[in-house]
Amino acid sequence: MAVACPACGGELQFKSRFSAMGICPYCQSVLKRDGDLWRQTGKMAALPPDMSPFQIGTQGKYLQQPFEMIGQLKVAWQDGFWNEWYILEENGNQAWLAEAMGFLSFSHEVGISSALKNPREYRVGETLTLAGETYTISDIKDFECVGCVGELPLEFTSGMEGVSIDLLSHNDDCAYLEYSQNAYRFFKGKNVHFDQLEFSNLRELDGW
Amino acid sequence: MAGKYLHPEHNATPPQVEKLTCVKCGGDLTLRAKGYSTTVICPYCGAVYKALATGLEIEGMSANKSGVKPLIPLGTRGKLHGATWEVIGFMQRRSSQNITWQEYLLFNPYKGFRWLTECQGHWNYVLALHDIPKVYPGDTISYLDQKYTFYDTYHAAVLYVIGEFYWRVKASDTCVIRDYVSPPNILSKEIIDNEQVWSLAEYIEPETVKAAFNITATLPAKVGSSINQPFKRSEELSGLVASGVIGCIVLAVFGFFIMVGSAKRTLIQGELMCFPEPPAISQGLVPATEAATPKREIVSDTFEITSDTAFLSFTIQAPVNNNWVDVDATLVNEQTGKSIYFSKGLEFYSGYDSDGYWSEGSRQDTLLFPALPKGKYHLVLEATSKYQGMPVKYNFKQGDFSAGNFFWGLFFMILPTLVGLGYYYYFEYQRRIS
Repeated sequence: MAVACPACGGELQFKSRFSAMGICPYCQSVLKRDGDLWRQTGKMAALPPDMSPFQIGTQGKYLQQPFEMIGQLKVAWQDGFWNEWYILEENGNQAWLAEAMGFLSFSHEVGISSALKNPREYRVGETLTLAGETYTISDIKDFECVGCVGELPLEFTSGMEGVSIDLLSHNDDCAYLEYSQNAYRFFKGKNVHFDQLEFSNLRELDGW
Repeated sequence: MAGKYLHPEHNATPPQVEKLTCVKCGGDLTLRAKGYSTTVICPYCGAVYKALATGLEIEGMSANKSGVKPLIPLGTRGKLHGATWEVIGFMQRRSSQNITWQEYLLFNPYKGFRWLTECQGHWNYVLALHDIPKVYPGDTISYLDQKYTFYDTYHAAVLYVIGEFYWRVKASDTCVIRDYVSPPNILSKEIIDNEQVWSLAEYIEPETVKAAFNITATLPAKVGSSINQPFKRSEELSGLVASGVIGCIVLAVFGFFIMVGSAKRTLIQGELMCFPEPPAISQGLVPATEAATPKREIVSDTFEITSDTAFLSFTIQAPVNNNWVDVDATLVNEQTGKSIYFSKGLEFYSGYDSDGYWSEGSRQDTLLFPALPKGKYHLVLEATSKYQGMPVKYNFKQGDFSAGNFFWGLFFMILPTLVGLGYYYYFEYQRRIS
């Protein structure tokens, strides 16, 4: 879907039907969906530079399914940063590629009905049951949203805080909970290697 | 406004490797893994910076305790395992057993991070693991279907650190390390505070590192064998073991068939008298008459050699004492008329001297010779001794077997294998004591 930026008139492409917000690539305006309309709700500062190999438009293939990166969420925690790339698969599904310190994991959101405690009440080593499986908590981190690019299925603002709860898995499986805006979202997937995803349209990096 | 993150049709601007100036010493600080690095340590003065979204923030000074110099300088690029890697961080650590080692942090924006470690001339290529190995009772763990056995646990302290790292690091950081080995790999668990990090190290030859990073300096010589150094000659060793075992089997089978196929039996046996050597004929003595000379030669009965492949043996036995006996024999093939001459001697001496009784020589001996064509034969024998006459027993057999030769054959066949195994166990011994 093509949308004209209400602030600068530039054309934005929304590729996913799930998208709830977008950042104008020309004027950094934040657009939020309001029914059939897109309203400008402020500006997003440019992200601090990094050496990520990905960009909006990077394509790849996971489990035979071609995909494209359409949004980026950058978060900071006490000891660093990570990127969450919002992905649209060719079949229309949405997915996330988390990129932290060169580690990649590809995951899909899984619906949960379990009643969960406030994230502050969980401790590392505690078990919890999600979507029929029992997990042990391996790490709990507070994070803060640094900023985002492209289109995203939720509204994120700079400085928005959340909690990320990693769940212990084996054999390259990964599972984690994210708590922000008073809600949990549960993700399940696999740790993946760069070479596995047959990337194209990667970002050109100076000197590499 | 042209942001740095534009849609692809607007050509994303590649980020620049950032050059900064150290606020403590004014030296050049290069940020090579922007967005990943959380700690940057000035290579000149050891000033520690925290990398934040807003930039670098000075945190303090690193307590660098050693004057170690990296063999591969920061910023050096090399190609290893099919990818280009840039050295962005360096640290020296020391174990509670007082062993120091060096670690080089490698970065490739597309592939992430790797480590190269060097300890006493032994190098490892290390990958931090995303997932966690399975732990079994008995301190055995398994990762990617490979079993690792517990080797050692120790504390490690950072002695020296420069460059950039993707975690908060400073000199004097300590952690507990547990190593599990399955050559050529080591799985290590580092426990810092409540966090554990698993990494997989793979042994890499110094020549490979030297070539990959174009290092001109001489790399430190290997000391001993390292805990995961692969036994490089295992192919040769298995070749040696295989050839030794196969050789022995072939030899044994060959020996067996010779024994079975040789139809072992005595062809002829008997006794003949030996006669003392005739005295030298001297002038003035009456020559012995024809009749007085005993008949010296005997001719055996006809016998038949029934195998073309059986060894033949001729054994003589006589009660010699301080004397010798010689038997001259001619083996005559009755069908072809061909004859083979051979001889066998016995000698035996004994006596007493200051050390007591002594003896040398033997009263029985065997001559072994190769197979002859099948057929009817007879022997013509004549025995001579030094002093007095005596009966000499003889025994002519086919299919006899030299056990001594056989076992020497086996021994030489297996010798290279034994030498190879010795080398291997010596290597493993060195590994254990290292």
